[in-house]
Order: sequence, then structure tokens, then C-alpha cells
Amino acid sequence: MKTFAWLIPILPALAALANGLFGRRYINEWAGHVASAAMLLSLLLAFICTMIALPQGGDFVPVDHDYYTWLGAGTLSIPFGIYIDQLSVVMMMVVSLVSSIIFIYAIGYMRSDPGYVRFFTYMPLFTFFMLLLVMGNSLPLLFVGWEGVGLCSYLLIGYYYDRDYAADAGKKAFIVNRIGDFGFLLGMLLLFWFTGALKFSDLFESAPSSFVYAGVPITMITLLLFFGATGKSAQIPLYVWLPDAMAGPTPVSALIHAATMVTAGVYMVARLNLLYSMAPATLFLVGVIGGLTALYAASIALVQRDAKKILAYSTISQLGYMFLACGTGAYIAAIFHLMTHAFFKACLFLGAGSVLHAFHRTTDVDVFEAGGLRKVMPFTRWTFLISTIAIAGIPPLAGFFSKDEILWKAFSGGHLFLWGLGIAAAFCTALYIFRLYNLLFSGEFRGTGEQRMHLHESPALMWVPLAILAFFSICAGWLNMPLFGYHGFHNFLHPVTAQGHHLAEHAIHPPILASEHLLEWLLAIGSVLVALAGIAFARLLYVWEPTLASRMEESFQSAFTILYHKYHIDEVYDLIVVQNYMRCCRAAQWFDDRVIIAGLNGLANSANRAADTVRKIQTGTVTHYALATLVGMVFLVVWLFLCY
Amino acid sequence: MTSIQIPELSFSLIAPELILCTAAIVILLVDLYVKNVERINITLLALIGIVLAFFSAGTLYGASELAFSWLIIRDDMSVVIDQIFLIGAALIVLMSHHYSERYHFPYGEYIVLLLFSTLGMLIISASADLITLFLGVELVSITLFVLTGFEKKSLLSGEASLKYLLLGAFSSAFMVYGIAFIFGMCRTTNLISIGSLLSEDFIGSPLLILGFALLLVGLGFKIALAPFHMWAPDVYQGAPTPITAWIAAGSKLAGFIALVRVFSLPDISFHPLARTWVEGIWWLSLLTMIIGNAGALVQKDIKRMLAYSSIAHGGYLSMAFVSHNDVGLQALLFYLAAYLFMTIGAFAVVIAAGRHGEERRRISDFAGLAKRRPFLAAMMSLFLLSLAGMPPTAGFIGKVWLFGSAIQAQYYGLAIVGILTTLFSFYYYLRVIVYMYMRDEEKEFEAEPLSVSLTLALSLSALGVLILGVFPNTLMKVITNSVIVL
Repeated sequence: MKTFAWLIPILPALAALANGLFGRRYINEWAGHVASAAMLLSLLLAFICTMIALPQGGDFVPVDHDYYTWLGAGTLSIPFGIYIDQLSVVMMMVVSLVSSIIFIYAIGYMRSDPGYVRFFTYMPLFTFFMLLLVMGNSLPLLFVGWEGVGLCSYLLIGYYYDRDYAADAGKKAFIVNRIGDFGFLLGMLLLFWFTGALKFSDLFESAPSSFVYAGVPITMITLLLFFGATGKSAQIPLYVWLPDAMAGPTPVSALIHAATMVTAGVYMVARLNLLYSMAPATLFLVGVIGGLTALYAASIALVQRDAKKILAYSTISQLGYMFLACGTGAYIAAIFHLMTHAFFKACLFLGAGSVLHAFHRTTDVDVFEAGGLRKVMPFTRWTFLISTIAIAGIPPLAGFFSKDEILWKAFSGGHLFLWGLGIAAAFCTALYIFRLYNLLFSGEFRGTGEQRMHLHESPALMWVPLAILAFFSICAGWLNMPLFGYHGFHNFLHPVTAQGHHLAEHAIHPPILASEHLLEWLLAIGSVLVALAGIAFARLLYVWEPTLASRMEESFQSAFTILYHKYHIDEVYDLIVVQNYMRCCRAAQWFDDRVIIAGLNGLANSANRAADTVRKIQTGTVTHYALATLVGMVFLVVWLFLCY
Repeated sequence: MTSIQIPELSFSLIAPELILCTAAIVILLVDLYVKNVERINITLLALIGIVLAFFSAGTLYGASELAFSWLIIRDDMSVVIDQIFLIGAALIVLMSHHYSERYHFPYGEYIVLLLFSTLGMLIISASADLITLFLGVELVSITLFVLTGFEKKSLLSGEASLKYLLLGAFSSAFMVYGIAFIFGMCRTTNLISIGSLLSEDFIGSPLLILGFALLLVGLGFKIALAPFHMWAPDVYQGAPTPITAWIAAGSKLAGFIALVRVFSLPDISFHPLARTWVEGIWWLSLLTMIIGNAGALVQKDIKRMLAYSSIAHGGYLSMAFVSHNDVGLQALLFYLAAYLFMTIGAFAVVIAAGRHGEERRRISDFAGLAKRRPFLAAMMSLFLLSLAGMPPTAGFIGKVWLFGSAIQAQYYGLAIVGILTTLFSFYYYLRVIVYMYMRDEEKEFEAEPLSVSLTLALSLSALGVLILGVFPNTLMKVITNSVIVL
């Protein structure tokens, strides 16, 4: 496997290089094909890896291979190598599969965009970094991928750089992420400080002996690393960039800001589950942050008007679920939900993109201007509906199985508070997502007549990817059906978390509720009922009794306003953080102008004077030159005698 | 009657010198007797000679011997340096092939003189006696006097040649005088004998100091240490550009090697003399760095600017003698190699950017080069950035190593001046890059297609700068080993 696995990230990098260097001049409209071809090859290789690993299941021995030493200084040596275990295999498959589908979709979607080549330079570059992130065999390598995807995210959010809001959104995303990355970096350095290891294999070996269970160091380290994850994976308190990130093209939102990059934080926590299992305090915080974010973001999504914004808050909320799962120690459930979410959320985003395409818009569409699209866009409608049902959590679609497993793990682990948050968020999820669906596709068209004229179904290049994603939105959940006693996915990933579970079990009491089959069934039925209630409520408000919605809005005016303005968090951040920061900046600028630049100018002036002197001495007359030599000689000899 | 003892002649130890000398004589004869000999054939002959000499030098690694009654020393250091010289000479031949065609030089004579100057450099690197050393220095100087004046139709070239000759003779006089004093005190001109003499509690009289001081003045002139640098800007500007490059790179390298041979005798490190001349060179180094960099700031002519830049580099390089430790010596050798590539490269770009009668002389002539000749502009930027000391080029590694040696020897002041003047040097190096990339051209220069030989010279120099910058270990290992042997 090591002989070809390095090609998986390198292929998209080559595509990015080709498009970046020769795109404008030679490749032009073929840029999308170049990128997609590279991506498909990469997918094929990832698939081969999976086919090697899958039959061996839990017995698969992780491939850990160093290709060469990337950094070496003293005792520190950071190799450039890959680590492929069950977790990496799942992540590689998800990343390369979703990327391939979205690349193909984007060929159609971005077709007429003037920045086509630039788009297909950044996109494969992103995939390269993302694959590096999930395949790297050391924390620094993971960090390179982590920063790299951040960079690409910045570039692609600001893709429409001539629009102020897009450029601002890009900057916001980058800066907020940098704040989180600072924590990540600190955590990584502390980890190196305590264990002296950065490679995963060394880390897993030395961590149990280097740290005391629930000690301060391990808690600090995991907290700092998790702080990095809250930035990248948009959790409280650093989630604010993700809604703005919707300023990028829709395939970007689907790939980077829904399916892959934002899940990097979850991957990181799952990858380092051994460390997290040793820090129960951190785990508790991870769970609480995840649960709160899930409910909080879902509640904001209830009243937003822009389709992509709704989906963005939905993504934040779903990521919250994954962290909730991590917090209860159910890392595999988190990865399972990560996978199913990647499919149905990508499908939702691309569906929204298809609608935008019909509206000839690039980034935003007001859901209240749409409606009745089911007639003109049948393919988009059906795929959108499937993924809507999937995210709402109705069996037998994917979302049900993954979400239900998270809720069950929370409940059976005795985290009733988290379970409560999860159930409440599940209700909101069903409500907002069907609100979105109903507003877009049910009823009658509410836009202008001219818009109606132009409405059209997207070309096959776009709806076929949608159909593929919809297929996975249906089936992906069947990989793991604990309710029916099938634990395929869980068993496959079990070795990844076994060591951590083993450590944790020594220290904490076994769960309060042993896994009882009947209870599990009851809870599952309960959560389905909650989801159905949400769906019915959405149907009632936006289809059966359209006036009810506006009446409700009037009677709960203040609540609506707060939700619509996202709890005014952006304004609070601006007041506390940005304003003060700007004050510091102005002080620094004053210092720079008055002290540093003034000082440098003085230095430059004196250099000029010296230069003038040198020029004047250089007369061009040989005798003067000889004289200078003679004088120099005399001084030298005298000086040497003095020193002797 | 004392019988005359014929010293053992080990010709194999001076094989590189012999091969180079033979090549020069063959070319001389060919040029004399074969009518209308093709320019390319002469170039090929010269290159074959250089390459053969290069490989024969390579076979001498590991030989640590004195030969010809201690006139010649063949150690690993001399082999490394010989090879560096020969690479430089090959690059200059490639440049000259193009340039001499442009100005119709009598090519055979030109190449013969060039090879003889290289021979002089090889002799310097292998000399174990002040007499051999002087022979080498004079061979280099006299051939270069002539080569400087080769552009017969140019007034500047003639003036440069005359100035070089007058001042060169002047400085040679100092050198001979110094050697005479040393001989008078030590009764020998052999460097090894002087070294062992000085290590045996032989304090000597102040006249010994005078001798070494005069020798320092003479060699200081060759490497253009301030205040003996005055000739450099005028000569650099006037000489044909390949010769300027050869003076800047080869002759300067040779001067430094001569200084290494004289002033770095390991036996005498603890002699009061050693500390004394460190004091002297400290001042020269300081002054040279300041004057060289300050002078370069205001130059408008590119060759003059590079001349001052070369003076400034002499200042950095002589820092190694001040630190007076192994690290300094290793750094010196490494930086000399790096310096050879980047200087020759920069001058090669100057040649390639011009054409007959329309040389790009002024810095402002380089405006807009990036648009018209992107390859040349990129090359120039690489060499200038290396001269300025930007990673990942050879110049960066060399400077770090060199300044590091001064810091290790606790000459913090000198290191700080070195770093500060380097900072200033960015101004004039980057100015050229700004002109090339950010200004529009003022007048149109007709492009002359890039010849094969120039492309080769440029690419090899660039390769050298990058390889030494990215994989410095390759050369570092060789140098570290050879200096330990010494």
C-alpha cells in the first residue's frame, strides 16, 4: 500500500500545479476535466486501499511509512510519511469520493464563470491538503494540511474578490481560524514538550506513560487542541466565520464548508482519542460545547431567509452532534455521522446550488422569493427531498442511523443533559430543513415573472452528481445498524479507539445503563416521532396554513428578531474583540510611524551621506589612489606596532 | 665541495598545473600556425584542458605532500580550491566565447592569457613558499593587466588597464619589500619553515611585523580591501565584462587563498604576531564593509555597482581571518565558492542583456527587462538575491557561516557591522530587481538571441548558487575535511 498511497494526495496537487501554471495559457476550459480526472484517479487509489483494508476488518495493521525526513534538527525529526489505519481509510474514501462528485458537478456549475481556471486550481489544492491532513503520520503534517485547507478555504471564500462582502468573509474566516490554530499549535508544542514525540505511532506508545490520567498537562493539551477544532469545525465560540463563508461559490460551500474541511476538527479528536480519553474534563467540555452548538445553531437556522445560510447553520449544528458524540466517548459514532453528513449535506448544498443556477445567482437566494420549484426542477427536487429526509432523521435513510447512535450513546452513557440537547436539536433540525424544502419546492412561485421565465432544470452534469449523493444519503447509514444488531462500521473502526477505551475504563465506572435492547428501540422510536413532529409542524406553518407563520412571527416578535440576528453574537464580538484589537493596532501604527520609520529614515539619510563621501574620494586620478594606498599602509603599520 | 643535490621532482602532484599549461601552449601554437582557426575550436580546446585539469586534480585528494624542495604543497585544501578555480575558468571561457565574437577580440591570445591567469591561481593555491606565492600572484596580475585592455577601441578599457598596471606594480613593490623583510628576519622564504620558527619562542624583531604588514598591503590590494581598493571600481567598469567577472571572482579568490597560505599557518596561532595582524585585519574588514556598501548605494553603472559590491564582499570574507578559527576558514572557502558562482552569473547576465555597441551599462537600462527577457531577469534576480544573502541561495548559507565564525570568536562588533551593512546592501541589489520588474523600459534595446555558451554559463552558475544554497552539505563536507588536514 505504501508504494502507491502517496499518489492519493499528490495527484490533486499535480492537477492544481498544472492548472495554476498552464491553466490560462493552454488548458483553459479543460481545467475542470484535468482536476476531475486527477481526483477520480485518486479516488480509485483510495478505493484500492479500502479494498485492501476492508476484508481484514479489525485485524488490518496500520501502514506507517516514512518517505523521507522533512525536518530534522537535533533530536527532533519530522518525517514526511503516511499513516493509514481504519480511520484514515474512511476519511480518504469520504474526502476523495465527495470531492470527485463535487468536481464533476462544478464543471457544469462554474462553466460560464470567468475565474474557471482559478477555481480549478484552488479546488484540487484544497483536496491535496485535506488528504494530507487525514493521511499524514505526524501531528506537524496534520497541521500542514490543517493550515493548507484553511488557506484554500480563504482563497475560495474570497473567490468573488471584487465583491466586498466576499473579501471580508474570506478575511473573517482566516482570522478566526488563525485564533483557533494558535491554540492548536500551543497544544502541539506542549505535547512535544511532554512526550518528545510527534509521530502518531510514537505518541500512542508514549502517551499512556507520559501523562497521569486526568492530570493537568493532558487536560491543558487536549483543551488547546480542541480550541483549534472549534475554529476549524465552527463550534462555539469560534463558529462565526462559517455562515459568512457562504459568500464562496456553492461547490466550495458543499465541499469545504460542509462535507470535508469543517470535519477536520472531528477527525483530529478521533485521531487523538487516546489523549482525549485520558482527559475526562476536556471530554465533558467537548460534549457540552457540541450539544450547545447543535441546539444553538439549529435554532438560528429556523428563521433565516437565505437558503445557503440555513444550510450553513445546519452544518454547524450537525458538527455539534459529532462533538457531542466525541464528548461521550463515542468517537466511532462521530465518524459515522461525519460520513453520512458529508453525503446528505453535500447533496443539500449542491441542490441549493442547482436552485441558484436556475436563478442565475452566484451566492444567495431568498427562500421567500422561491417556491413551487418542484414543477420545473424535478431532479433537484427529488434529490433534495431525499437528503432532507436523511438529515431530519427518518429511517431508513442515512441520517437516522448515525444520529440515533449518537443519541443512544449519550443516553446509555448517562449523559442525560446532552441527550436532551440532542433531542431538542433534532426537533429543530426537522423543522428548519423542511421549512427550507417547503419554501423552495412546495406551493406556488413567489418571485418575479422574469425570474419565472428563466427557471430551468440543471444539466445532467449537475443532476447526476446530485443523484449519486442522494443514493449515498439513502444507503450510507446501512453500514452500521446497531438496532438490527449489525455493527459493521463499528467493528471495522474498533481498533482505532480500543486503546483509549481501555484506558478510560480503568478509571471511570461502567455506564449507568447497560445497553438494553428494548430501551434502545424505544428511544429510536421516540426520536423518529420528534423528527416527524418537526416535519409536520413545518408542513403546517409553510404549506397548510401559510398565514400561521406570519402570525406566529408577530406574536413572538422579540424572539424572532433575536434569532434572525443570530443572538447578536457578531455585534458582541465586534464590540469586545474587534474594537479593542483595532485600538491596539492604531497604537502600533503610531509607534511604527513615529519611531521605527522615522528612525529608519534617519539611518538611510546617514547612509546616503556616507555614500556621497565615498563617491567624492573616488576622483579617478591614479596618484590619489596611490596616495590612499600609502596612507593606509602607514596607518596599518603604525597600528600593528602599537598592538605588538 | 658540496655536491649539488637534485630535488625529487614529483610531477604527478602538479598534474593540474601541467595540463593547464600544456593546453595554453597548444592553443598558442594552433593560433599561430593554423590559419583562420574557428573560434569554437579554441573554446573547445580550452574547455578540454580545464576539464582534464579538473579531473586530474580530483585524483589528488588525500595526498598531503610537499614537493619540489618544499616549494609546492599539495593538500586537500589546494585540491578543492583548484577545482573551484577551474569551474570558474570554464564559466569565464563560456562567457568569453560569446563576448569576444561581439567585439572581435584576437581570440587565441585572449584565451591563452586567460588560461595562464588560471594557472597563476592554481600555483597560488599550491604554494608553500613565498617565492612560489609571489610567482603565482604576478602571473595572475600581469595576464589580467593585458586582458583588461583588450577592448582596444574603448577608451575606458585602456584607461582601466593602465591604472591597473600602475597601481598593481605599486602594490607588488610593497609585497616584494615585505617578503624581503621576512626573509631577512627568518632566513627563509618557506612558509612551513617560517611557521615552525615562529612557534619556537622566536619573537623576532619589529621588522618582522613590518614585513608581514607590507605583505598584507600587497595582498590587500589584490583583494581590494579598503583603503587599497581604489583601483577596483575604475578597472571593473573599464575591463571587458568577462574579464571583470574573472577579476571579481578569480583574482579575488586567489588573493584570499594567498592570505590563507600566509596568515593561517596553524603552528603560529599562539604567537603574538597572530594576534597583532588580527587587529590589523579587523580594521581593514570593518572599513571595507562600510566603504564597499556605501559606495554601491549611489552607483548608476551596473558594473561599478557590482565592483563596490565585490569590495564589500571582500570585507565580509576577511572577517574569517579576524575570527582566526577553523570555522572561519571553512566558511571562507565555502563563501568563496558561492561568491564565484553568483558574481560570474551576475556579469554573465550583464553580457547577455546587451549587444554590440548597445551594452546595458546603466542600472536604469535594466528597466523592463523582465518583460522582454524574463529568463535573464529571473537569473539576475537569483544572483542578486544570493549576493544580498537571501535564503535559499548559496549567499545566505555562506554569510550565516561567516558571521557565525566571527560571533564564535567573540568579535560581536564586527559581526554586527557585517549584518547591518548587509541590510544596506539589500537596497542596491533590490533596486536592480525593482527596475527589471516594476519599471517600463525607457529606450528599446534590441534583443540579441541568447547563445548556447552564455546559456550554459548562466545555467551552471544558477545551478551552483542553488545547489550550494539548498544542499550546502555536499561542499561543506569536503571543505571541513580538507581544513582539518591543514
